[in-house]
Amino acid sequence: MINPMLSFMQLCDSNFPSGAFSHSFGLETYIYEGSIYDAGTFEAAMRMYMSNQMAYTDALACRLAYEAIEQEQFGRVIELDILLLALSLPKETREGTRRIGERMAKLCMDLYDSPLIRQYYEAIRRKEVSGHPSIVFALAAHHLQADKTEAIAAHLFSGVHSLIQNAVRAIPLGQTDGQRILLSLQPLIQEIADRAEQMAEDELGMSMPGLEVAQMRHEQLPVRLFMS
Amino acid sequence: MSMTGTLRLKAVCRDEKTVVADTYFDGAFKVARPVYFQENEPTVYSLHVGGGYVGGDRYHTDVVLEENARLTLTTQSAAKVYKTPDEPVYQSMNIQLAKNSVFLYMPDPLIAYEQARFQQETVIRMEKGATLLYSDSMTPGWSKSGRPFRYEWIRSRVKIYEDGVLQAYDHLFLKPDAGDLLSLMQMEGCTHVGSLFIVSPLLQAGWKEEVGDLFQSYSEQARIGFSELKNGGCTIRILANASHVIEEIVLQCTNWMRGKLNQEAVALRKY
Repeated sequence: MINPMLSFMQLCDSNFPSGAFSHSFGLETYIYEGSIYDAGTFEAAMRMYMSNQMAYTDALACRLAYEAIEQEQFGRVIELDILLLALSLPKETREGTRRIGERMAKLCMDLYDSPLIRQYYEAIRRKEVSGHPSIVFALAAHHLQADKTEAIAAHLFSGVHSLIQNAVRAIPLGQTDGQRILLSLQPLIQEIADRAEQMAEDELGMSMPGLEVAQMRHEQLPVRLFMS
Repeated sequence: MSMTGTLRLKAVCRDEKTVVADTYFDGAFKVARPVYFQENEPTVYSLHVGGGYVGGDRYHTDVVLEENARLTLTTQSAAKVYKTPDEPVYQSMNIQLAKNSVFLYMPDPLIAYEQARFQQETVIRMEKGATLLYSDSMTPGWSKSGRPFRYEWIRSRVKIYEDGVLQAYDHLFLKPDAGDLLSLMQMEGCTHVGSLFIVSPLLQAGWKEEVGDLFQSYSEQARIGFSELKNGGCTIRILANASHVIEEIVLQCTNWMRGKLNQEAVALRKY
């Protein structure tokens, strides 16, 4: 049996080729416009992003997917994927999430001998679903017999980690600043992972209007480091 | 569950003329006789006769457009939501659009006052080939303290299905108490939020440039984002500090679409 902790370290490693390093999910708009410009403004933005966007989309989606897999209801995984795609209104964010989801699904299928991951990837190939990283993470975590809340925390960590890495490059910030922010956001990651358990299913995808506008406006930025 | 207000509208097209074939209203909802700004294409104004929404109120609207029917639905004044001490106000709307029908929906803003809780659920089911323009906007009402955002929360869910497939799901939740609603990523210093969805076979490649041009003159008054839905439709989100700014932008978009529909431009607002 594989130790789930070691597997999480592999899945959350910045070298894990999910493609997340190409996406800022709207943060680049704020960097370009000057409202995120140093470690302090970035960390404050991350806290807002995590407490809302990541909490009600990534964390809740990961929990719902994990529970559907546990209850052997693959149909609900498919429904969740369709909801998540429709909830993502800005095109670049939707496309970026889809690409990362598909790459992760392919990788996890190649790494793990899991019939469910294979089934999900084949559904992506047949275009029945689009692929979502939170669903792939839940599938992988369940296959590795990892605890649900720990899986949600690891999934959040990997998203936070790659956004910080991107901010270090884009703002730019010092490597130590990046690591310090990653450390100071860890209690919030745990808090959101715990809170996901109490969320109602129909709270899925609650969005913030300003972030959506920033994600949409990214399409028109004259200079871009990231695809979203 | 008894309803505070119910409205049902059905528009059919007979010999190139759309008529409102079936109108039903009950309780606090009423509709005036259709107005024909455009020959053959009615505009319906709905109104709330109670003066405002209060706690526990429940409203439901059904709109059906048959093949080739063209209808514009708007309101006579803003929906004011007052204090809801026990139960929130709940409003639902179902819209069904058959092939080649055209439905434009431009309500006045929703104004949520101190301690108001409001939830709306909108489901749009359209056949491919139909045209939808759906807009709405939300704003905090005046409060005794003079501070904005004294309402408790507003939740709005809009789902758009085309040929049975979910194409867009907008889930907006504004809760002033949870963190700073005026901050970055939330309302970003603005009090008003407006949303617009357009799904239509008339949206051709290049619509983004056209929409971008429409918004040029509003860059000082509003922060606007627009993007493409997965079915090629258009989604627009507007942040501003005044209702009239959002209304003007929505009206610009509406008249831009009316141009594509060979309809004349209108100014629907009543004040």
